[in-house]
Amino acid sequence: MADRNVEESAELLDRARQGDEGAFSELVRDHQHDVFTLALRLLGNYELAADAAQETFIRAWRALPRFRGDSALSTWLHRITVNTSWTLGRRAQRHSASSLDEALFMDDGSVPTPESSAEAADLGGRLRKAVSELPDPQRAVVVLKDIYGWSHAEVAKALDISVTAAKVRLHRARQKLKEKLWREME
Amino acid sequence: MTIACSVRSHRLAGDPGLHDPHIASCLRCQAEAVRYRTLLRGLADLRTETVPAPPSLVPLVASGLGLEPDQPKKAAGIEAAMAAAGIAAVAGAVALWRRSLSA
Repeated sequence: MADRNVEESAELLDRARQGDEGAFSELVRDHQHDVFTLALRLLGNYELAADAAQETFIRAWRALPRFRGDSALSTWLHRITVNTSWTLGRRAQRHSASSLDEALFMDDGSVPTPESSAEAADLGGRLRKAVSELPDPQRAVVVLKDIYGWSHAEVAKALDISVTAAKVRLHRARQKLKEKLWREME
Repeated sequence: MTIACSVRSHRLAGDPGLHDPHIASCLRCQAEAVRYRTLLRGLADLRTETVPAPPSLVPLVASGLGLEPDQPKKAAGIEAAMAAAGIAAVAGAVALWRRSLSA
């Protein structure tokens, strides 16, 4: 993200909300890596994540005049990213279950990630790999709650599930991660 | 693992900072709590990592929103060049055909 102070960012956002295309392009440049990273973590697939990031910014541009600034722009973009990723993920599974499986899983059953297996030597690398191997619904909850710090209520609302369901999924996901990480270490 | 430890382990997944008399006196459960706390710290640390977006993302967004005024001109230029090449090819074919007739 470009180094902008609060005033510069606010001015850029204001101009974009008034329809300034150049200002919006700057915002896309500022937030592209953050939005793409979230989409990749949710979808576990590079191509789908690229599509989701693109769709996120297109939706954001259309919704920008209605953005009141109640939350930070990044938080607002994250919400759109989650909705878009969920929609694209479901659509991809519905229309091409077999090809999506091929795209999502490599021969050894693991999910391809930009990180090489050599990086998986440290805790961070092993954790990234373990998270990417969680089932989609559990991965989404862990990503939003434990990585991005959303509340249970926010996670439940974004994924259109009950708060109880969100807690149960998180619970199971954490147990799986813990077992996987420490079983490998022992 | 005792039943008590198993029950605590389940609860620790939801709250690694759980205060419980059993955990306070059980090394096995304390180790489990440390593992969960390490796990949560590791996950929180992932927040600061970003994966670079594909270089095509920004141009694709701009083109998807029609924010590139140069794009139609480029496309028109390519179309004009293709049309010119097509005309040249036809003219060449006609010239070859005429030459073959006169030979």
